[in-house]
Amino acid sequence: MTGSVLALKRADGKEFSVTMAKSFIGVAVAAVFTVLVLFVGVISKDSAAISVKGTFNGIDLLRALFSGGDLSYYGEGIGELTVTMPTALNAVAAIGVLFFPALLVTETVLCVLTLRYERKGLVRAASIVSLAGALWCVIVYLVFLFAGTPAEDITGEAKEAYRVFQPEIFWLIAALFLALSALIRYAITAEKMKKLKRYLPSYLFMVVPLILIAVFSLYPILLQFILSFKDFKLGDGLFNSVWNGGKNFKSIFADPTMLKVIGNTLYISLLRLVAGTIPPLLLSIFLYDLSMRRTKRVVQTIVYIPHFFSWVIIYSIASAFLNEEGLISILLHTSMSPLNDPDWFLTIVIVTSIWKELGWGTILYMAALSGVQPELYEAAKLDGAGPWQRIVHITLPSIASIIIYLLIINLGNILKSAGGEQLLLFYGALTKDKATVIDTWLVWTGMQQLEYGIGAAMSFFQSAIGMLLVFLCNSASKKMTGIGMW
Amino acid sequence: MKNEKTKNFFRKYFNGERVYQAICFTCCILIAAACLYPLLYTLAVSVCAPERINYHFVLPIPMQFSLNAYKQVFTVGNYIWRAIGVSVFRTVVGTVLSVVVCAMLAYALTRKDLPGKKPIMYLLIFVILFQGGLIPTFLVMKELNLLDNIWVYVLPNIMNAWNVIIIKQSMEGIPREIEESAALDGVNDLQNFTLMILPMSKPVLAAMAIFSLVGQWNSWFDAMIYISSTRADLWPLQYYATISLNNLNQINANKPNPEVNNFTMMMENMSIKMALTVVTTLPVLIAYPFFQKYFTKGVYLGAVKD
Repeated sequence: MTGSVLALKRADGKEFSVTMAKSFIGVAVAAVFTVLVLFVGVISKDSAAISVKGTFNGIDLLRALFSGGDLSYYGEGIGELTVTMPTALNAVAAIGVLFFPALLVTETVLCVLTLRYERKGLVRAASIVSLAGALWCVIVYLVFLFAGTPAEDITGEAKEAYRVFQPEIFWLIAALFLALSALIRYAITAEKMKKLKRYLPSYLFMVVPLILIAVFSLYPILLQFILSFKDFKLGDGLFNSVWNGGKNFKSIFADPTMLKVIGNTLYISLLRLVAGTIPPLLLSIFLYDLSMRRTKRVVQTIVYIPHFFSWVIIYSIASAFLNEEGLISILLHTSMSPLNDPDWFLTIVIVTSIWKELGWGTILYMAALSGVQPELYEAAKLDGAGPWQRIVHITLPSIASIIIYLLIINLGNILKSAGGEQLLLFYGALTKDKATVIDTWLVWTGMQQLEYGIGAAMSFFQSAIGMLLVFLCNSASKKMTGIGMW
Repeated sequence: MKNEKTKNFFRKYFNGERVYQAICFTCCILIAAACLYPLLYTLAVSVCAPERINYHFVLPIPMQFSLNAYKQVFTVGNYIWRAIGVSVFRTVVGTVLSVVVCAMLAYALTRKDLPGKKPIMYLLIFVILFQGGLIPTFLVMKELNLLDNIWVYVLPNIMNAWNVIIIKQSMEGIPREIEESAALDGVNDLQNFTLMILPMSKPVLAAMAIFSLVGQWNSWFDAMIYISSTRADLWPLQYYATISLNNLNQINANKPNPEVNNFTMMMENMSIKMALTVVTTLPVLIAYPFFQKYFTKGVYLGAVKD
């Protein structure tokens, strides 16, 4: 087999060997990480003095391995810190450190052989080695994650914040790169290289958006997952906090106050669902049937306006009507402001949100109605159908699918749609109890009382159940109405 | 004879159709009035001299015109101009970046048989459905040094997976032949994106820009979470208004000076509050007529995918 099988003819006639490029990838990745492990091990000695970083510190680990597993550090503020590493962990760490030089040697040998004999099998073997390396890095990471033991200071007291091993993100990065290099070598053929070249601009377009998604969407999700299984303390940092199994989740479902929070969320969301469906539906039927074109347009323009106001503004306007001397308070003959009255609280919340979203909610219904053929109405009129019959037999059936779709999708969002932002503004000392839903609880207890672990578990629960519900509801909607979110 | 006449009269003017039209008309007008009345009331209170406001103030007509409340709004607080600046910054920069970046990803996803297109679409849907939650997000901002930093209003809000999907869908509606013939003329991807696809996607981009604009202008929650209470110089207008309204309420509740007529003072506070409300809302109201052309389409695209 010659090189031309795998090679890509370039425009100028020269051969660019894909095989060659492929074999260099493996060597390059192994070399970079070998250098990182050995040299950063030396450079990072200072940081090792402050918090024990067994994973990264190659030289120190090797020294400890040969001195019977004792590592001692001196850190400012903590004094002398002695760490006795379990032999098994020690071995893992040592192999972990020695792994990269070994990988480098193997990859180099395979690369040289590939270039000499140009066998496809050799490239494949090299990529399998890389893949195995990636797997090994993940295993090391997991071992460190679960097996790191607290270090002891000079008095023999365990210090939770200083652990023998920190699961350095380094291992995951290494795993990612190794896996990628394996994948590239395994999957790339000459045609795919051509394609890649063609699509390179498109991929460049994606770089910034994907980085933003990774940083601001995916990374919080990862943290949320880790946090929800940890006893998070601010001083310890995320990775040094103790794992506590499912304790956070247990405390959500065992605690009656938390169940009340969830119950409140469901209740308010359901109220909003009804308030967000029926009034806009009625208004859009009236608007649609209104024969005066001009009035119709003017009314439409006006009713959309409140949607563009912030809740701050709506709260301010509402409090103008509802304070002790306000117009509505006077009409209701209440001695105190209804805003502070727990009996009135939910009514006010729902009425203001109807005010805000009533017009906006009609847009979809109106759009659906604009697709109905006017001849249907003409024919119905000729047949003697009155307005009521036309609504029941033409208008409603023709927008039934969109009504059901919206209902189902909103039902899927039920844990998230209690309107925390509004409640955070409208609540008062007396009404705080009624305003406690998941979203507000996260602010009041999770953030302000530093219950980070339980808070993360709560939002994890909210998101996970939410996703499940949306999936179910979406497929239900697709089945019933033919409309889906995607 | 007479009976017959009345019957005809009734049949002509009080038949089902007419009654129904009347009901429709009344409901629509009432709802429109209910939407407008609080706004007019707010405006009227803000420009009325405080001593002339009372609880009989039903008609939104100021009894005695005074701009005193506005003067107070702009002179009492040191930070209002700063807050307006922050709000304008986050609105303009946030919207422009968001639309451009979302359109970039959407454009890349419309390339025909691009390898890896499907996984990215799944990623977008996943990101829409699964959020990091308040606390983990807070920790990320902390790690990125974005706490007490004005960019915290912009950076996390640039990418919006929904918007990407909507823009992508609209871009897919552009006939491919146009692009193909341009490609024959040697137009590269960047030129194709900036000179052809972006201008042709103007309606959907405008709709997305409006939603981003309104969202940025109206948001206050991120300021509450990510900006410490000592950094009032980083508050956007909405959060400044929240804090000021609360302070004014507290002044009401504490009644610091019993010598002063409490009622008058409360009303004075109220007109200041309403003036602040008007100032905070005015930009949205001014921009509203320009929005109207685009947002209905955006809503429809945003709600229903095929």
